[in-house]
Amino acid sequence: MNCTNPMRFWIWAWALSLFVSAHAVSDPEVAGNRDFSQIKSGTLFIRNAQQASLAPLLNTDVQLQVSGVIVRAKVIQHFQNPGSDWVEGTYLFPLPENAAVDHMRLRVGKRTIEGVIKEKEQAKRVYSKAKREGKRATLLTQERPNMFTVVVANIGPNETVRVEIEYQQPVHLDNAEFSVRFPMTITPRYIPGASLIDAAGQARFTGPGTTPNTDQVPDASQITPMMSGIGENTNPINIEVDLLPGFDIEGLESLNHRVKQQSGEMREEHRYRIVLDSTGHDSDSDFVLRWRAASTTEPYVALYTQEWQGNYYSMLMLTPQMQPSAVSDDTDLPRDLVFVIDVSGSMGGESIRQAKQALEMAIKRLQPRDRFNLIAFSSHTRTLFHSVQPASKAMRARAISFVRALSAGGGTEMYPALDAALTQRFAGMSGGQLNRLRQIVFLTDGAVGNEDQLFELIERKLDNSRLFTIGIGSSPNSYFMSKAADSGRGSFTHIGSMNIVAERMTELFSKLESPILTDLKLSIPEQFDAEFYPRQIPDLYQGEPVVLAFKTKGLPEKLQLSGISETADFSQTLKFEDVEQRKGINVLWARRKTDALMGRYRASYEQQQKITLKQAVVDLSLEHHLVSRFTSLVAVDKTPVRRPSEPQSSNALKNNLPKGGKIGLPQTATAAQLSFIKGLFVWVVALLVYLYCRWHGRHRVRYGS
Amino acid sequence: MALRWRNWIIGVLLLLGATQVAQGSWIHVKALVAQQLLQQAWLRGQQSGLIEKPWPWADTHPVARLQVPRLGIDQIVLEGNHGQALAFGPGLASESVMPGTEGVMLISGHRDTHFRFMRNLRVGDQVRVDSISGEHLAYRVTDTRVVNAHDLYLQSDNTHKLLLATCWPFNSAVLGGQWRFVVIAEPVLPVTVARVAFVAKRGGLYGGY
Repeated sequence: MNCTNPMRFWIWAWALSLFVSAHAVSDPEVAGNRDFSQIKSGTLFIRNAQQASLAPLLNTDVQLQVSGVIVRAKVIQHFQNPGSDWVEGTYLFPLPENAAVDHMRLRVGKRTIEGVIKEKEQAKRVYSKAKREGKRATLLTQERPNMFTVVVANIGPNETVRVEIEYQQPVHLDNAEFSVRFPMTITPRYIPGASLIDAAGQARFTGPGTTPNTDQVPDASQITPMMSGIGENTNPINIEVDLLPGFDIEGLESLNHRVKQQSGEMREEHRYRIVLDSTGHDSDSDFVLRWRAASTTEPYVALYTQEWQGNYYSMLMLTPQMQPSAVSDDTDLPRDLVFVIDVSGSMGGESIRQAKQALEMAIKRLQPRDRFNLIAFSSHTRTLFHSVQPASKAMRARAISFVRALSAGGGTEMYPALDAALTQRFAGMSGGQLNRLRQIVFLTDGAVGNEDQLFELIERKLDNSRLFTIGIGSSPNSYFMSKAADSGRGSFTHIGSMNIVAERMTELFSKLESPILTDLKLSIPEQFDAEFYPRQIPDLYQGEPVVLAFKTKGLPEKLQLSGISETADFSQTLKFEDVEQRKGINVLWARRKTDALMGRYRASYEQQQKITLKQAVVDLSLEHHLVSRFTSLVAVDKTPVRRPSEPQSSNALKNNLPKGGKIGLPQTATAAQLSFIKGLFVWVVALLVYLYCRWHGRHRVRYGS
Repeated sequence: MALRWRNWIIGVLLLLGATQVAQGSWIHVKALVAQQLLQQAWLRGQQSGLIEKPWPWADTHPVARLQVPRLGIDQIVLEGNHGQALAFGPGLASESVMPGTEGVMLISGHRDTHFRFMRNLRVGDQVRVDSISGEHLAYRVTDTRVVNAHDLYLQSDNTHKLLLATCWPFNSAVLGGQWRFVVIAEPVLPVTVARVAFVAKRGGLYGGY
C-alpha cells in the first residue's frame, strides 16, 4: 500500500468515517443529568381535565337513499353504555347544511318511540322532566343548520340505545356533476370575542363544549365539542348508499373514502349499492359520492310534486340551456379580483397546501387586463397591495411569492378580512372604470362560530361585487360557505383533497370568466297563488342549476322560467304532464322557506319584527314536522326505568379529529453539531493520513524496496 | 512525488474540516450575538411601548422574555417558530396565545443552542415569562413528555399553560427527527407578579395613601 494512490486512500477514509459517525451520532441517552424514567412517551393533549366517568360509546350507521335528485337519509346512532351506572350522553354531530330533519325515533330493545316536534324551550322542558323521572328520552336540537345536538337520558348499565334521525335533501348538481355528501366530523371552530362572565364571576358555559360563551358567539359552549386523540376513532361510521339516478351514469366515485360497489343482486337497471369500506377508514373527513349522466348532451331537468294537506308542493332542478352565442369571448369584461386566503391555525397541514396550490393556479390564470389584490388573514389581516393592481407579469410573480411564503397559524378573525375585501379594494378607481366585474374569491375551511355576524356583513356591503367561496380541507363548514356564497351572489366550490384542486379551480375559473344569466323569473299563473323559494333566484354561472321549491293551490299545466344573459334573452317552458309524485317535497319547501325567514330574522334589528319572524318559523316547522333553530324533536318513553335513588352521570361524546388538521412542533435541531462532527472527522482523517504516510515513508527508508 | 500528494491531500482535508467547523460555530455565534441584539431591542421596546426590530432587516421581533432562575437562563423569545426565527432565539408558535392571555403558550427552541438547558429542567422549576406589555408571569414545571412532533393538538380552551418544546433525543446529531421533548408548566399565581410588585412599590413610595 502506498499513500500516493488516492483511490485506496478514499476507500480507507470512507470505512473510517462509518466507524466514527456510528459512535458520534447515535446514543441519545448518554447526555444530560435528568431522570429519563420521568419521561412519558405518547400523545399530548391540552384541554380541560373533565369526563372522569365512562362516556357512552357510539357508532353510527348511515343509509342514504338517492332517487333522482332527492336524498332520503337515515342516521342511526347506537349509544352503548359500557359502565355499571346510568348515563346521559350528549353528542354534537354534523349533517349536510341543507338537510331538512323531519323524523327521530328512539329504540330500546324492541320498543320504538316516535319523536314529536315542539318549540325548542318546550321540548327541552319535556326532556328534562322525563330525565328526572327516570324515563328514557332523547332530544334533538339544531345548533347551526349543519350542526345538531342529540341528548339521550337514562341509558342503563350495559345497555344500548338507538336513535334514528331522518332527513331529506336535494342532490347537489354543478357542471353536470351530481354529488351527495355526508360530513363525519366537525372541524373545531374558532371562537372570536371576549368570554361572557356570569353573576358568580365564572366564565359562562351553557353546553358541554370546551370554550365559554363569548360576546360574539353567545352559544360557543354548545358548538365546541371535545375532540378525540390522534388516530383514535371514537365514532366509527358506516355508510350505505342506495343509488337510483334514473338515467345511465358514468364516473361514479367516492372522493375521500374507499368504497365497495355492489350491483349484482339488484334486479332493477341503473341501481347501485355503494358501501363504505369499513377497514382502515377513520371517519375523519366528509364522505362525497359523485356521478355524471352518461349522455351530457341533454341538460338535466327534474320536477317532482307532492299533494299534501290540500296544497301542491313541487321541486324543480334544471340547468338552463344558454345560447351558444352567449358563450363567446368578445363579451368578456375586464375583472377586478380580490383573493382572500385563510391562514389560521385550523388550516394547518393538508388544508393550507390545498389552498396555496389553488391560489397559485388562480393567480397564474389572470389576464393582463384584469386587476387583482390578495388578502391573507389569521389573527390579523395582511394585504399584498394597497389597492387592486393590474395583473402584469411582475405583479403576478410578486403575488405568487407572497402566496408561497404563507404558513398557517393563529386565530380566524374573518370579519376584518372580509370587510377589507368588500370595501377597500376599489380605492382609487375613477368613475369611468366602473364597468368591470368585481369578484371576491375566498379560500377557507370556514371554521368560525360567528357565522351570523359574517352573513350580515356580506349582505350589507356586497354592493356590485360577487363572492365566491372555496371550501378547503377534509370537513369544512359548508353551511357557512354555501350561505356566504348565496349572500354574496356567487357560488361555493368544495375542494376536499389535493388531487382535485386543479379540476375544481379550472371549473371555477371557467365560471368566473363566462357570462351570467341574471334576472331569472319563474312565472306561474296567478290563480295558483304560487309561493316559491328562494324568493330571488340567484344569478347563474355556466353549468349551475336552478333549484326551486314552490307551493301552489292546485297543479298548473305549465310554468315558465325566463332570464337575461349578456347577449340574449333566455326562456324555457316546462309542462306538468305526468310529473313524478314524491313524498317529503313539502319538507324541502318548508326548509327553504325557513332559510328565507331566518335570513330576514338575522337582518332585522327590531324586537317586535324578530318575535314575529321567530313565531313564523315555529309555526312553519310545527306544521311540517321540521327541526329548526326554534323547534326540536323530542321522544319520551312512558314508563320510568331508573329509580330516583340511582344516580345518573352526564357525558359529552367526542368528535373525531378532522384529517390533516394538526399542529406540528417545529424542527428544533440545528446542523451545528453535525458540522462539528464532520469537521473534526475530516481533521482526524488528515492527521491519520499524515501519520500513516510518515510511518510508511520511514518504513520504506529503513528496509528499502 | 509522494510528498506532494500527501501535502495536497492533507491541505484539502484541513480546509474542508475548517469550513465545517466554521459553519457549526457560525450557528452558535449567530445564536449568541442575536440574543445580545435582541436584549437591546427588548429594552427599547419596553421603553417605547412599540414593537422594536432587533436589526433593520429582521423578519421577526421580540414578543417575550423567558427566564429560568435556577439555571440562570434569560432569553428573548421571538414571534413565530419558523426556522428563520429559531436561529436567533426561542420562538413563540403563532398558533398559540400571546403571553398574558388565557390559553396555551408554546415556545420552541433549538436543542443545541438556546434550549440546551431543557435537559436540565426538573418538575418544580420556576419559569418566568415577561410579556411585551410589562406583565410578569410565573410558571412552575409540572410535567415533561416526549411526543411525536405531528401529534400535538392544541385545543382552544380556557386552560392556562406554558409549553416549552425542543428536539429529542438531546445529543443526537441527526436532523429532522420526529420526537420532541415537551415541558409543561402551569401558572403559579393567579395574580401576575407585576401587579403585586407595583402595589408594593407604591406602598413604599406613598406610604399612608
